[in-house]
Amino acid sequence: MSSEMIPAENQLGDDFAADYKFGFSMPEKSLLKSAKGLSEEVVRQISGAKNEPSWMLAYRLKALETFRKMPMPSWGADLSGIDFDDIYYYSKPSEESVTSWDDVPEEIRKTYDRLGIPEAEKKFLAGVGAQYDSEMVYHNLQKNLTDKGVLFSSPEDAVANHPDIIKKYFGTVIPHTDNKFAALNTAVWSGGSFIYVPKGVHVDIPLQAYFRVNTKSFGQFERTLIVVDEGAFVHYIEGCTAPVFTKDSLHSAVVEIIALPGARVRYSTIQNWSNNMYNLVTKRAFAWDNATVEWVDGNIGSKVTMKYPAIFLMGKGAHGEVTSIAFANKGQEQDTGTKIMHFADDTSSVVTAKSISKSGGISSYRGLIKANPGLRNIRSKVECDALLLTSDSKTNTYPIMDIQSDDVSMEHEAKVSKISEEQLLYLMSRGIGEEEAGMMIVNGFIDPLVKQLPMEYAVELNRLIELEMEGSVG
Amino acid sequence: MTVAAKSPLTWPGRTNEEWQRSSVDRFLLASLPVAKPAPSQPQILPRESEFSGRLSFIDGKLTGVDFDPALNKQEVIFGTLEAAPSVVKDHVSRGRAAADTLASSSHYERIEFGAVLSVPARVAATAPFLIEITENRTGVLTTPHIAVFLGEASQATLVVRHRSPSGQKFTVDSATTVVLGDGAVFNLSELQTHGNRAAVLDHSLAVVGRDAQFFHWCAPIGGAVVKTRFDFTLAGEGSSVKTHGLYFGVEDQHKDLRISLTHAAPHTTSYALYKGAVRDRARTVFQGLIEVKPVASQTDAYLSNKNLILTDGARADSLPQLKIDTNDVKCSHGSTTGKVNEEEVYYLTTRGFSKEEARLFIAQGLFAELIDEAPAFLRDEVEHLVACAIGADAALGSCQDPE
Repeated sequence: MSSEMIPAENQLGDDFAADYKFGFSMPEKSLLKSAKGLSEEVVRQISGAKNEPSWMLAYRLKALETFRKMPMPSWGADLSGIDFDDIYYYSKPSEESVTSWDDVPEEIRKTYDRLGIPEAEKKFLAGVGAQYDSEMVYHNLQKNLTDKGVLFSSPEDAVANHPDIIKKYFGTVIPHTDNKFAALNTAVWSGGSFIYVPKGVHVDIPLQAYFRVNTKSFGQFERTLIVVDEGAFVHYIEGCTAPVFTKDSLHSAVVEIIALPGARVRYSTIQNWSNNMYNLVTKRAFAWDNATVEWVDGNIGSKVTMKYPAIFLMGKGAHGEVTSIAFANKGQEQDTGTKIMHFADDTSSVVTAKSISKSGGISSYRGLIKANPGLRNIRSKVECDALLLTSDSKTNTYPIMDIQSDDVSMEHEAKVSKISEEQLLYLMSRGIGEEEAGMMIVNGFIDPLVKQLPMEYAVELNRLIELEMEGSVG
Repeated sequence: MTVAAKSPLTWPGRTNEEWQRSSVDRFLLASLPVAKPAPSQPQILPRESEFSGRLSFIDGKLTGVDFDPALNKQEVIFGTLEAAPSVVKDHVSRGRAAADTLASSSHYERIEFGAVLSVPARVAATAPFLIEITENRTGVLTTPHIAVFLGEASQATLVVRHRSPSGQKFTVDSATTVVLGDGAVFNLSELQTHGNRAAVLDHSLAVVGRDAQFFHWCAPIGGAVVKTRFDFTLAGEGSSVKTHGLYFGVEDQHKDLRISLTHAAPHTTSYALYKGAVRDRARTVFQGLIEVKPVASQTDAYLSNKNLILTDGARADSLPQLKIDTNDVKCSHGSTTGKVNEEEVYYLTTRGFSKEEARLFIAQGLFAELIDEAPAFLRDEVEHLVACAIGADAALGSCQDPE
């Protein structure tokens, strides 16, 4: 039982591991690990380990059936590398979730210390959750928010202590029949975040969760449910990393958001999984009357990402915004996009999607904007920009506009370009080196997204992009 | 490069992206009797100097011919498919090779009749060629083909009209194939005014050579169900394609248009502008793909699709797509869908027009830039067709097809 860290570079002869700051892994010391592969027994084991009520187990088993019946998606990225039988579906790293950082097991704490989580909490955040493999190991919320009735915990905790909220909302935004990976998640979900913000409560500083995978050939299936009651506000931030293992891992989360009338929810995530992670995530929000939902989505890591944060504008006057950036470097495929469904009058949506491709990386935008017949005053604006850094980079844009109402204003625009020689020349004529000039132009390109992030995340994102950009200009 | 053996083609189902919004069953390709080519006894039409040549087909038979003798002397070929067998053979094999489903290959397996325009190198035909294809038969599948070959640095303009009377239920499975030599300049306009029960399927392609220019204009106005596809390949360095389309969906019409612009050589330019309007229970689909191959550096491509929804419940789908495999490019697309601008309507009502009139004028105005691109001798007719489609002239009773 050595606590010695194994440098990731030694595990993987591939050069892309070297740049990945989060590539270290701790020796695996799970308390409970399910057998490899997926079976009813594994699902029962997961449910049993959590002492779940029978209704949740029944729901999981139903989802397992759905998973078995549903085909793999016939479109999008190449998923042939996933072997569902070669994955650990559950790994419990410690006895229970704690609320004091000192009580987190030492090795797990070391991981998060290296990622800088506790400092972040002290300085900037109202609450932090940290998930290590399958379970949340740490959850804390500032006392003034607890007093106001804000709930921030693991979903397991919510199943046990707030079954009324779970029963009312769990699986209503994304039913297990939605797609194969949503079914998989529903069957084997473990960990994630549960947030409830009561009527009129304004959570001024963001809540954060951090997800970390430490076990080889592991599947992380966290489940997040955010319910924001009438007139309330919350900003939730999520970060993800994993060590670089020799075998591919799978991350398949489901995130459901319900913004009740007049509520506003902002969900920001920067995904920086290691380059051998399949990241197949279903994220969807319901926005009721005059509610606002904002997704801010950064995809830097992973081998393959398929992620299309969706907003269903269910109530009159609802508004949805999606701002995203994807960086596809060598060997990466970032297949991202957005789905906005206008189901009510006076609803509006804005989508800003930016992507950067480099060294054979593929970035794709898939989008759907739909307006049902009979609706009045629908507005939607979509802008997709792709930047190609090297001649072997690839980008695809596949938007769909399905408009069935005559009182609609729908605009879509997409542009593909490289770093312009003129801009480079201008900056270089002012004495700026070529590489730095390229970086400045890229920073300008992603600026609309960066502006949406809290300062320390913006700095982190800029740094990550800088790292990815190394040696790409000139 | 190894080429995998082509697996046998199948009928496209709902999983085929291109056919997701239209069912191939509506064309009855497998069940309708195929029309038999009929012996032609064409009448020589009086020479009209505003045309380089004219061909009229009725029910698959060539009925009228007119051809500028000066061009005939310069070895320009303009006639039925038998007039230039080698050109037709080459084009049919290109069409077969490009087919990806039975729906796109079926035309090439049973071409009924058609026309060829072949212009030798460095010959310029200034006046337009006109091909009129009229169909009166009912309960048949007809498959007209038009093949165009332009030699190096040659020039030509071709206008193709497809029409049939209202009430005739039949399927047309047509194709136009265009091969342009280096430096050739070709202008193709297609006006389709089939009757309200026709099923119209078309798979056309163009291969554009080095520094060649292709101007394309189309107006698929008629038909009950329409599915067209035009694949433009910018094969030679410096080649350019400009394509314009205007389309409408009225009553129960279903129209699904697809264009693809494949940039397969450096310094190529493409521009596409498609505008549509829908009303009643109609549905239109526009799919427009810009594809840039790794070799096609310095590509400049732009595609725009604008849809006007005139009445609630009509449906317009817009699917512009970009597939870019190299970085030294300038590619963009834009798509807008909406209704007539209410401020403009208000302005016109203050000038004494009714709201309804104002809406129709504005809608007509949106199509003006596309009407301007139509061949001069068709402009008045196209303007009238546009006015009928958006409902402006319907009140005058001048839009009824003769039964």
